[in-house]
Amino acid sequence: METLRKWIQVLWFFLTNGFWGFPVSGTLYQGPLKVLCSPGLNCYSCPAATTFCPIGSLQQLLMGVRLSLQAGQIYVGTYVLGCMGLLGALFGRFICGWACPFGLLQEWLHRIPSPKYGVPRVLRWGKYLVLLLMVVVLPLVVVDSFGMGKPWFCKFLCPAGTLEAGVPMLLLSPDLRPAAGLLYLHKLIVLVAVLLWSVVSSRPFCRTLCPLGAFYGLFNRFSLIQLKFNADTCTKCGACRRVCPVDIRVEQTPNSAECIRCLRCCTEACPTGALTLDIAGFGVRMTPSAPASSDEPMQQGARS
Amino acid sequence: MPLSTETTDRLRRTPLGLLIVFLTLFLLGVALDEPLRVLEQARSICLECIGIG
Repeated sequence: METLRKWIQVLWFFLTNGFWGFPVSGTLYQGPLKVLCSPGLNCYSCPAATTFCPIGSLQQLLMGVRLSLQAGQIYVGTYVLGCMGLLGALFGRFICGWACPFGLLQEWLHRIPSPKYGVPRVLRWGKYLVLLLMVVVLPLVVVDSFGMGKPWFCKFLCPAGTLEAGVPMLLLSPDLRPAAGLLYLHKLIVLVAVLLWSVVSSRPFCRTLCPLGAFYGLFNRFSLIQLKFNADTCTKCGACRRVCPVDIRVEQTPNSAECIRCLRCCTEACPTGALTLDIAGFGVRMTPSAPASSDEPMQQGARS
Repeated sequence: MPLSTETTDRLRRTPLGLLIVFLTLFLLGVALDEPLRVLEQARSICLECIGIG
């Protein structure tokens, strides 16, 4: 199952970044597919991007909402929020585990041999602050003399944008290089910090800073895809927690907002089938192919 | 603590309610031509967003 998940992650990477003609065209994809919402965090200024980033689009609509309304256009983000909400209500954070290119990158980096550390639990609240402040409140409230806000998350934080768009665009367009100043340096530092953190901790950006993960996490208890825990068959061996990449106490909160639905607890860990996948009320039991041994090192969700 | 049957039923109905709410928002956005605005934004490079300029 883990191999299948990796292949599906790679497939989604290529589906949302499918325009490989950009080295010839010298510009980004501009076709009609860009009206479709990327399920994962994927910068739409990336030259290869074929879909729009919901977080980027939402900020763009909110920061220009005054000007739109003045022009008689009601662009307040209902389409983007509708897309995000439909994805969230159907899948919850299943998307984080199966369809997010930046999540895949963090997983690959975490495979690099190194000492592994946990992520302090308190930092998990950071992503909700980022969602509320940098994606919604600040773009909406802090405006210039023309009534235009700034895309705070994209501009000051998003490492996916720097990696997928900032770096490639400078390589593709020498004319842009003089415009890269302190802000670009700041974004490069954020990117390098997140990438290095990903080597020593499992999915740190998803767990502490990702506003899209925070949004989808709100749906984990209600989405059509859920985990079911059967206390009667649980032997409390702790195997599920040992394989969990985001350090959830699965037996207490199987539908925690942190769970990225990688399903490793079901397919690799639980020897008794106490954890099952529930899709719209239909239970799917997955037998572990190779149960994790009790003395396996805690390299994934190292305890915080 | 195990959830009561009533709570479980309510939780099962919730996704449908959420789907209806967000589908309504989605359709409202389509009716307001918001996809065209999104497409317009997505077709251009936001230099400010990627740390340039």
